[in-house]
Amino acid sequence: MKAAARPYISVRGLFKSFNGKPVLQGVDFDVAEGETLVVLGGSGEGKSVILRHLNGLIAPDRGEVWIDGRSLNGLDENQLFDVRRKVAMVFQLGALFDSQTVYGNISYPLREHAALSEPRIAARVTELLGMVDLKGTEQLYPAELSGGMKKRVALARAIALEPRAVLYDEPTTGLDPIVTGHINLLIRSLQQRLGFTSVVVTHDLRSAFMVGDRFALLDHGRIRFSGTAEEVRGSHDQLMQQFLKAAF
Amino acid sequence: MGEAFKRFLEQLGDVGVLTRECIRQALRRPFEGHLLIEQLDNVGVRSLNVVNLTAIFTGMVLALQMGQFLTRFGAKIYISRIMGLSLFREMGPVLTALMIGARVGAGITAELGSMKVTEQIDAMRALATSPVKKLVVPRVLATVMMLPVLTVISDAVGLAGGLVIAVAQLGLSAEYFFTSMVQNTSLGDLTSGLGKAVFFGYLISIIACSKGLGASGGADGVGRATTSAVVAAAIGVLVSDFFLTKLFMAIG
Repeated sequence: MKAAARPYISVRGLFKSFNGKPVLQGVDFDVAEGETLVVLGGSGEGKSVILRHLNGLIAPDRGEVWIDGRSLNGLDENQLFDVRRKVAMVFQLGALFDSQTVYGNISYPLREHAALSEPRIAARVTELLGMVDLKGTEQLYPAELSGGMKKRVALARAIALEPRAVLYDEPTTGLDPIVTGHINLLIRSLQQRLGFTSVVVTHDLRSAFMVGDRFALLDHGRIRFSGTAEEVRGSHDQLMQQFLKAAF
Repeated sequence: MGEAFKRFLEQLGDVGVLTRECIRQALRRPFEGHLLIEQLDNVGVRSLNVVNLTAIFTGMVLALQMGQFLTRFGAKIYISRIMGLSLFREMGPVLTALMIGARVGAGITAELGSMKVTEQIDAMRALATSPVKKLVVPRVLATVMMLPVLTVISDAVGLAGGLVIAVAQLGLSAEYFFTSMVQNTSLGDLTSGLGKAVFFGYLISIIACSKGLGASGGADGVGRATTSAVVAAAIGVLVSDFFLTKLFMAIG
């Protein structure tokens, strides 16, 4: 049913090289509205590079990214702001502003874009912190937070403006198994509650199965395999098999 | 050599592009006054001690050296005019710029560089805000505005240092020191120094921002960017000083 819906994100023939070294070599995929796609792949395969194309942080050498029917090609930084208000991103290590408190971090997008009064900003920050189970941490600085807490604050900051899509860069890397489980549950529950489209890149298949509807395997700069959880489990693809074996 | 020259041209290009974006973002609403005030405090008020200390000792050394030399020719009465000229035109703006390049320039590069390598710059962009508007514009504006102010203060403090030596060691009167200086220096001497200070302020801050935003590769990369920002700013100040001097002399 989901595959029939109009894709919210479309990627066509994406090529990208850094210093002459090809990273992406013709990546194609679609993400339907409300769907969670997990892009799997080994370290250094260019998963984060794909993600950064989806909100225009990186421009492709060739190929095209469409968000909600609009091509990002040729948009300048200011035009991309419209896209980024709708497509939020959670960075690998949170990328919280370390000169600002948790409150400062989460209120940042609200202050910039939402034109709310200070009491309403404060109420929204409290609500967002409640969503990620971090109530009462408003006055802490990022340096005082654990890795898992940083990611939750980053998640709260990302969804502050009620985006239509959220991009997650390795959301569970570097966390212990229990915190990993919590973060995965949180990602899944927020996605179900708020209904946004998600793209998650990870090398952790266990986490991928917890959060994803569909899975794409990146190898040598191309999507080598894509399918649902059942299709992944039943796949005869050698690399997919290796991922499965390593994870379970 | 060819490689180094190519890198230099690339960096010049980066600075040019950043300058253009900086001007564009500075003219775009809303005007972020609170960020500018924060930086005015950081660049200006908090640099006062280091600038004053540099200026007073430079002024005293200048007076000591020249005093000894001029006394040999019975010309020590000229000391305040020479000091006025050299401080207003050269020593004030250049020494202040070198100190600000070290203190503020290094600070800017280290801060922006560490934000870059921890993806905070990308996070700003991902949150649909411009790091140039939020970080570069207030730093460049504050440095351009504050360097002339600090230069005037440094000129005054340097002269005060010279005055102390002239009175205590050379036996000149404070009154004579001042009248002689005022009579023999023009407003043009002061303004040419301030013109330089404005340009040095731009140069230091734009180089520091450009190096910071271009940092990569973790703590090591931030360290390298900071070192190269301070060196580039110092060289930039000293080299451009020559050309600015020629320019102001040509203007008259």
